[in-house]
Amino acid sequence: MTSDRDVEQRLEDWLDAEARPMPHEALESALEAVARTAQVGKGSRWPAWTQRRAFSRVATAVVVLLVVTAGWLTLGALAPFIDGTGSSPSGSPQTYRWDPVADFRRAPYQLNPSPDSYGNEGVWSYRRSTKSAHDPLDYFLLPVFTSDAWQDRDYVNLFIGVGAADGALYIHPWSDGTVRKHAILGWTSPITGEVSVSGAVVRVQSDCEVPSANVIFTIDRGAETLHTVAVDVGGSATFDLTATVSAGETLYFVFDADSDARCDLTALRLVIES
Amino acid sequence: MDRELVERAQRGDESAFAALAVRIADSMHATAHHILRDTGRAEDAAQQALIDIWRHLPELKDPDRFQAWAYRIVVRAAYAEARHRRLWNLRGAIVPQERSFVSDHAGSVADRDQLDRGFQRLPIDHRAVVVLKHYVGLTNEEIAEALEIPEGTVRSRLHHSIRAMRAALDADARTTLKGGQS
Repeated sequence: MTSDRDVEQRLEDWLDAEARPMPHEALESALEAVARTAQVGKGSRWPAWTQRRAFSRVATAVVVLLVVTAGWLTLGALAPFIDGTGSSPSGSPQTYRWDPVADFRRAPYQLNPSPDSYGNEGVWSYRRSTKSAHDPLDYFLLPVFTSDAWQDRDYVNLFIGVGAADGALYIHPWSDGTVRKHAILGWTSPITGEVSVSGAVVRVQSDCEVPSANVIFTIDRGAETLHTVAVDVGGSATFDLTATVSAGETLYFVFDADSDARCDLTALRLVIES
Repeated sequence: MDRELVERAQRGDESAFAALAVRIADSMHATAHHILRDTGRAEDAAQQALIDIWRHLPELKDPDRFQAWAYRIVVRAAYAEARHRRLWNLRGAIVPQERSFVSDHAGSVADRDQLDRGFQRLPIDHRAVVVLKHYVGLTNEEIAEALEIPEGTVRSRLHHSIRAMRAALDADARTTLKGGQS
């Protein structure tokens, strides 16, 4: 008969030996999500004297002054572009074009998030959700890079990558019927203004021999859905819309496997233009 | 835990929170993994817990209670992940295989298997108590605070868990002995 103390000792040794550190990428991904997350507050954290009316009036005046000054400075800096004498990074005034395949960085230059071809940091991101709901707080960066794709660590059939030079991004979401982990391409706008978003999604495996649910493709601005379409096996759909974005705001291209992930490999052709 | 670091993070200092996160992440992840016995879900639970800790940190009244409070959040995140898994298993889906995890410190392979089998048979709320006690090293009082249950319930769950683990180990030992004799 084993004694309680012996059981406890064996248990403690086993738990210590089985303890697994948090993977570095997972921690980085969580901290990246934290940076996008506001803290829940219980009222103002400012000192009481800042609540007084006199302070409020002075503060308002200072803010207005700063905004006006910033506006003048910004207009001055943008003047060459406004009158057409300046040039954008693309060489064409006021026209920018983003293509996730052209900007996709292969090994050993991969980054997630990844810059665009204009050198703006963190424009493209390759993510997955942990739940079915479309909640950007739940979108974590895919942690593992193979030669041409970002993928999940455990659900290796959840990936976003490029294939041969055919101009498409290949995406595979994951689902077991109850829990759905979406594959998500993120585009974080480096500009403020209106952009056109156009392209197509194509279910690649048209000869699927087993029943397969739709892939639900959605374009979200943050958590707000702008466009959604269900694509059947072998099917395709095009999209063409405009969206107003602020610098730092993210459009998410969400691939939801629905009730199963069988034959869900999907190609995305996408162009975003300002 | 560094009280000043917690207070700075409470005021919204992201670098202070990052420093805190680095200190607690491994323990959070290991706790979730022990409770869930699933690598992928443990990672999800630990990530969700870190985000929840950041979001609700301003609500923590006593920074000295940070550790127990943080473990409460990771255990809740693990419970939420387990609920998903239970639904998943009910539908008969295939659970992704755990990667093999080998350590020489926990005794023989057979010993580890016995412990693993016995531990997996425990209800999840018992596993949580055992992990907080025998892995994290919290006192019964701290566990009660972390899980928001009476201290008597902590003692009772620990007692039942150790008894169940001992029964599992003894049963496995008898099976091994019997198998060896035949």
